[in-house]
Amino acid sequence: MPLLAGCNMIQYHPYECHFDGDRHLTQKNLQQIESLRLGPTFRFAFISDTQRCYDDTDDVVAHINARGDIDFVVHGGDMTDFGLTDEFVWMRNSLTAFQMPWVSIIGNHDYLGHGEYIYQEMFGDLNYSFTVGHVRFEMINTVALELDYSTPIPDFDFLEREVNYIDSVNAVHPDSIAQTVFVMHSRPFDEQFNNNVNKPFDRYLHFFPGMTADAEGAHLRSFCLNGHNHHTQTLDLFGDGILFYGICNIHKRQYYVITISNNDYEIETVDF
Amino acid sequence: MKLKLLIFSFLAMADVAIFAQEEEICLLDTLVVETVAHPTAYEQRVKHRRERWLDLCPSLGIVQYAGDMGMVSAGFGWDYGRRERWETHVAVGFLPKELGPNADVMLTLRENLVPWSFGLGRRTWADPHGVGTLGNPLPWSRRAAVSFEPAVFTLFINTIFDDEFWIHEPDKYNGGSYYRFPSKIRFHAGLGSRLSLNIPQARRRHFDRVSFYYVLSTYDLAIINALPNEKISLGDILTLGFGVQYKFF
Repeated sequence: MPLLAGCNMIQYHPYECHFDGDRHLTQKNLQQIESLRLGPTFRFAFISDTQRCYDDTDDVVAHINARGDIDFVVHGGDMTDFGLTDEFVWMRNSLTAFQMPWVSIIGNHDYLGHGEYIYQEMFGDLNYSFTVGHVRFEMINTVALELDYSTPIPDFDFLEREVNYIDSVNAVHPDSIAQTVFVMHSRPFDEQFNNNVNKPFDRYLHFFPGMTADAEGAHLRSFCLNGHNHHTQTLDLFGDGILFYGICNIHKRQYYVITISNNDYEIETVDF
Repeated sequence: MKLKLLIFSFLAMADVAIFAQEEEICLLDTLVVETVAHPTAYEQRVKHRRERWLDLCPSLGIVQYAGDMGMVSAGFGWDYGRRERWETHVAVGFLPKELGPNADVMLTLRENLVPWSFGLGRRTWADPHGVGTLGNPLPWSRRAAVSFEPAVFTLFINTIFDDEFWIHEPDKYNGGSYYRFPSKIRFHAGLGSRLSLNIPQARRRHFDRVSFYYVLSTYDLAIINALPNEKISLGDILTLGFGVQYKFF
């Protein structure tokens, strides 16, 4: 469209949504994760809130690449501060240096202005899921406040389809999906979450594999990951044993390494 | 076509300005000569008021491609001050819907400072007498065939007409104090150069000067992104725009 498409100095406006280079990255990275044919034991990293921190992001990418033991990376949203095309492109260019596949969800800052449109062009769906080993990853959009609650966020129809899918898979091959990892930007009780549906959301979580304890007080093998709060903290928000692991923003230079094995998990906080 | 219409209407206004300035020497209108000879205080006041209002008549037209003002932007402006070093522009820009979720219209208010102007070629080529259309003395660079302005400093404010952006953050965000920036208004700063063709007096039809310029600029949020990061360089945040500027008189 631009007459001088080759010259990236030509910009019509900061809110123009045109960008060059990689797009539809979620689909491409999911195909790469699938092609890894990961077994029941694998390891992934979780980072979040990298907005306006390109140097720190480059450092975390280098740090994770250098480890050599991470199969893929999950980004918890807020890649941009102002939802600008420039910010999406700069952050994408930092993150594509990962030597392993990486996937993301949308954060509230990514929604600003035309950000939601750019996110969908550059990455893809705002709710999606994938299976690695025996683990189902539910990547869900939870920033309800940005759309004034006019759009179903979290999308219970999506969750319902997921429950039905998992049940149908497990009906044929019992326990082929034994664990669930929910990834969200904003967690329940945050100002961005639709707090009118906190309890229904918690009830829905229990429909997923590993979200309900086999015996009273037993450790759950499924869990939730979130960003947004800029603090590294673990909370049992509903008092039912479902843990929400929040990771700080990248400027505080921490990330999670999560190891899945034997239908259980271990979370390690790594400073870089 | 609308632009053409706009320019013609400016020209019509410019003609009025010329007439008003030269009414003392206009021999065709004896009434004017008579009234000028013995003007009453009221007539002087009317004349003065008309002249002041005519100062508001735009002296410039601009059409620009890119440069953070829209894919294409067009507008008008005024030049003023000693050697007409200062310029104020108002332009409407357009972003087609292929470049976003919808088409967008935007408005830019721009202030230029042109500190230096150099004439190239014979100094009296365009204007041998050194008197401008309104009787104003012309700097020699404007009398030459071509003049070159090596530095045009520019500051501009742009606002986008789109409901997804706000000046005051909506109350839903922590009572309006969460993001803490007006997404609807962007502040820009830039530097450019321009080359002007001064049209010889006898050949002027609509303009007395046509300038071609480029401008390199950046904007507030890009600077905020670049400052804390070594990775983001000046080259990453600079934007290039090209334009044509017409001087009506």
